[in-house]
Amino acid sequence: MDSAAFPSADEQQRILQDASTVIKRNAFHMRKAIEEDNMRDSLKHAAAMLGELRTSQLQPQKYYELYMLAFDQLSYLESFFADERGKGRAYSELYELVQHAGNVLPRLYLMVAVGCLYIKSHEASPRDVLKDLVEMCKGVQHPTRGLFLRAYLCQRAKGLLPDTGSEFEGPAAGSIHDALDFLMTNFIEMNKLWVRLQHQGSARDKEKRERERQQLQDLVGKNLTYLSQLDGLSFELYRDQVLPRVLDQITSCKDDLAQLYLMQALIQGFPDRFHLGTLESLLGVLPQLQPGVKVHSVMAALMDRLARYASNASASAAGGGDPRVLEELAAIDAFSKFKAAIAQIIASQPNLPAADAVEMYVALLSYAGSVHPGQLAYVDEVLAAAHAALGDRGPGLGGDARAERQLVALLSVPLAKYGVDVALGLKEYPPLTRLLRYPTHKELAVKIVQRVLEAPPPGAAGAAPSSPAGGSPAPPVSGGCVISDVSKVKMLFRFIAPLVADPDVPGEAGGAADLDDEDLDEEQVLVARLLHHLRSDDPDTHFTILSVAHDQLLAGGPRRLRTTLPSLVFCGLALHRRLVTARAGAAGGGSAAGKKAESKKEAAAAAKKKEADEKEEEEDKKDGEKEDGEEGKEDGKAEEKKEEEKKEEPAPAPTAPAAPLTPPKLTSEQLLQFLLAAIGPLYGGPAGQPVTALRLLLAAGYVASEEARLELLAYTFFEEAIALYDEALPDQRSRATGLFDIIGGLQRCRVFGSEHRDALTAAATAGCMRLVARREQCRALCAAAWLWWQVEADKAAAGAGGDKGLQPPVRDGAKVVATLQRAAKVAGQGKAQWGATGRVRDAAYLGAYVEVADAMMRLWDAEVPGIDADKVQALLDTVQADIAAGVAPDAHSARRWASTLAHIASQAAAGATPAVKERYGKLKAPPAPPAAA
Amino acid sequence: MSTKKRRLLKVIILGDSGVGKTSLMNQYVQKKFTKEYKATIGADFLTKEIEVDDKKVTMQIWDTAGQERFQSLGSAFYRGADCCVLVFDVNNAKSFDDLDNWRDEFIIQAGPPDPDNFPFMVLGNKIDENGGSSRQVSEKKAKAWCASKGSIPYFETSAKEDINVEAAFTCITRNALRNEKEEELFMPDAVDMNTTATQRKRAGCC
Repeated sequence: MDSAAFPSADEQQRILQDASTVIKRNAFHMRKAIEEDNMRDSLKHAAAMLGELRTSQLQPQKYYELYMLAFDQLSYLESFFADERGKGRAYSELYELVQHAGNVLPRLYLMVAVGCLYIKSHEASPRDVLKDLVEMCKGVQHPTRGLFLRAYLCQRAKGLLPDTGSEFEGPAAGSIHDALDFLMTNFIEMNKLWVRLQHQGSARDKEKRERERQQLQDLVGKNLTYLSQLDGLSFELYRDQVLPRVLDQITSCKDDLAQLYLMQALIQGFPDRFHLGTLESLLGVLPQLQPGVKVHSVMAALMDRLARYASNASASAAGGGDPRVLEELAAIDAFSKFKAAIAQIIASQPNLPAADAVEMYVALLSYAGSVHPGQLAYVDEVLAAAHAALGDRGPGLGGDARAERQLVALLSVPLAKYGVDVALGLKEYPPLTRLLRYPTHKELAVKIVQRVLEAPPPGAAGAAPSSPAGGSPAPPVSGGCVISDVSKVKMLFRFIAPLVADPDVPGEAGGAADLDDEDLDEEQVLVARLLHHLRSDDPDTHFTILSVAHDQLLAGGPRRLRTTLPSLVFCGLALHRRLVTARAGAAGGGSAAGKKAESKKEAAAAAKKKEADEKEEEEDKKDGEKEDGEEGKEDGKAEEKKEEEKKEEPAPAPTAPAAPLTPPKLTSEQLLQFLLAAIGPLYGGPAGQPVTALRLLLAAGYVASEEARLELLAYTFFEEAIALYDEALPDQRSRATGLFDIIGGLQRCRVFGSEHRDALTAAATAGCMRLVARREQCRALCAAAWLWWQVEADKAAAGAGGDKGLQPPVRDGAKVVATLQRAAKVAGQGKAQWGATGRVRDAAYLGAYVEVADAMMRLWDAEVPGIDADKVQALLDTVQADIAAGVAPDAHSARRWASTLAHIASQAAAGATPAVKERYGKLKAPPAPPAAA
Repeated sequence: MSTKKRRLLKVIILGDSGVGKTSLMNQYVQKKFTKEYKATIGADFLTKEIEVDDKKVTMQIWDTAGQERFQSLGSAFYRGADCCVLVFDVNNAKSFDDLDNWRDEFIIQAGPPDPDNFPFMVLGNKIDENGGSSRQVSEKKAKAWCASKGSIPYFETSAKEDINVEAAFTCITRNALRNEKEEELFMPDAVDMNTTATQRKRAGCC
């Protein structure tokens, strides 16, 4: 209905059905005549059957169905003919007989059928009969009918050609040259018919007709398959006889469809070896093709094919493959030829879409990867060439989204093929990424970072080349790779530029300003995690890496720093641990075994720390962790640590060879100063994360004290932390938590002489009174009491340095008692307040007293001089008396009171030692209430 | 028809590009093998005369293009097939995964009257490659797939080393012969206009 060339689909279906019925009926009669040995009738019905193929009403696929129907039946006629010969009838006679068929098309089909049997019988010269047939078929010039007739001809003739070594070869029969001539002539005639088809019908529905014409392409291409299957087709014959004629046919037909198809068929249909020797002819013809031909896909197909050839050859070299293939490809410098051909195509086709150009470079890249594996120079060359071809299309490739996608595909090839670590050696990579729009580049950057974070271990990436010589084995980081080279780290930041900084083109979208805090944080967490993968076994190198990263992060502006700086600081803290170990290892050079064990432990600890840090990053906002000594938690950590050590055991510690005998140049001062500066922006302002900053300062202060033993630096960290507490913490809750963190941190630090220690303790204690709620003040003071009673040094944590540079633990019972008394005084003030207001809320002073009592008991347990049963009893009595007098405690206080009483009772009944039992037995406490009401 | 008449069996070989369809056919029919890859364009067949149980049989073995771009004319030649041979490369998991598609494609396009009992065969080719070390599909896995599709016979072959090729095609022949009987009933009906009409209807609902 919608086609001028053919009836509607329904109509065609009806025509096909009718014609099929006629064919089946005639076939039935034909086969009946064959049964009856009636040559005349069988020929008559065969001709009638074949006459149905004269239709021009069917589009190619429908015509093909009809053709197949007739084709199947012809095979019965052929075997009948073969039997006839057995009965003494000569083929020459049959060949004459079939020419009496009235219509040209059935006549030619029958002649082909008999002619082929004629050849098979060796009664006639194949050369002569084939020549005759291929000429006679010129009688059908209708494209579809002619194409199918010739398809039948070459199909029947293919096994009867005077091919080299075949039974049909001989002085009179012909040679491979005649076989070639036959197929070439048939090919050229078919191509002409095919090309001519485009001029039939109106211009109106050209697209539809071209689609239909395309369906016929395999009939033409089949000739190439037959040519390629000839045993006698040597490379020389191909190069000198076949290829020039095929290429000439391709260029001279000036038909887009035929050119594209035949180039593809040529590339796919003939062996790789042939292409290798004729690469220049193949590439040379490309610029001569019609402007509408998708030359890039031809190029890509050729490169892909040879790349596969090369990789198959090298993969199976062990199993009898051909190692010479790679040499051969290198010898003819196919890479340069491809590169030049691509450049020429791009230059000669100014309208070539950028995406198509990039597609060729993608293919060239994968070719380079297969033929020159591990040679990055080739990859760089491709990237540079791609940049040269695309550079003038402007940023974002002029807004061409398809081209941009292709460019991303191109840039992804080296990552997938070589891994990020190796790809970082590509100096032509960053300029090419600049052609992407900022958001697209950012997507690529995310992929790159994710690869670093999750990269499979080297070796799993297949043909990934070994990393350049000299690189020390990186310490294992679970599920990812480590970048340990300073120049590569610098490169990495260029690769992932949009994750680190805003677009440098003003006004381009996608920068930090376009993202809300949450989205930006999500994105920057990737960078934060990435920092943990930038590390070196050598502390000096690692420090340089951190400095480079720091500079890059600073350039990204405060809003990114919020998320990334904490991670950097944790990396620095982890480095400090290894620095201490490295220095100790260098100092005590001899005991290699000890060193090894040490470094293993350190690695495990560092890994542990890292893990904890990462967790912390995530929990930052949840305000989860506390620094003060929660014994249970520490125990858990120690256990996990042991487990990790066990896990590490089987693998020889890769850090061992890197433990240098020369001490690192980096000093603890340098590193800690670096960290002090790094934390700075988090204090406040746009990057402000005061809660996190406080915690980082305390962690660094602890390291400065316990690992570095640098009193003044440790003092500075604590001083800054206390100042932050005083000035920057936003609300009561975080102030209280912060203060407990400060007290907890300070309590564990032993580097301070009495002067600094007193100053910090005084400041922290004074800080207690700056909390607003009296009960909080009381609680904080109870904690602060411990500042005067440090526990014995933790030998394990002290590490290699022993107690050198540390002060003996502070033990001042009088100060402890004084602080607790201050706490009790605060509780007393609370009681006064309750007296003034009478509010139940203010009855919380009871809870405050209980806090003091609890603290008192714990210090009593620690055997602090000056604390005795009377002091505890006095506090208990106060609470008890007030409750007896009718003060209704608030719910929290009541619970606390109940559990305190329960504690006393259980200690008295079943304390760990008789001394404890005795001590608690002395206390006169009311029986614990049955359950907290 | 008379039993002394030569029987014609039509066998279709399907499978992904490069699994060795042409090589298997060439090895079986012509005892030839080349390790050079040449894409097959369109569909084409080779014939082989054989004797099975004293009966002369002409095998028409259709080799097809694995590459989609060389199947422009569609699959009209599937029709009338007596057996369909699905080939995969044991060193290429995807070619095995694609067997489902090829089988479905055949059933849809060829429209055999009883798809569940139509004789299929599966050949796992290239078992010689790298001494079997690059294998991706185990014999067990292949057999399990075959069993799940109604006990399709399975052979492991190497066209290059001529392993199991003859045995596989002998089995193919026997299976095809099993199917051929139904075909013979079909031919005389072709003249009967009424029967043709019913057949048309049936074709319509497939």
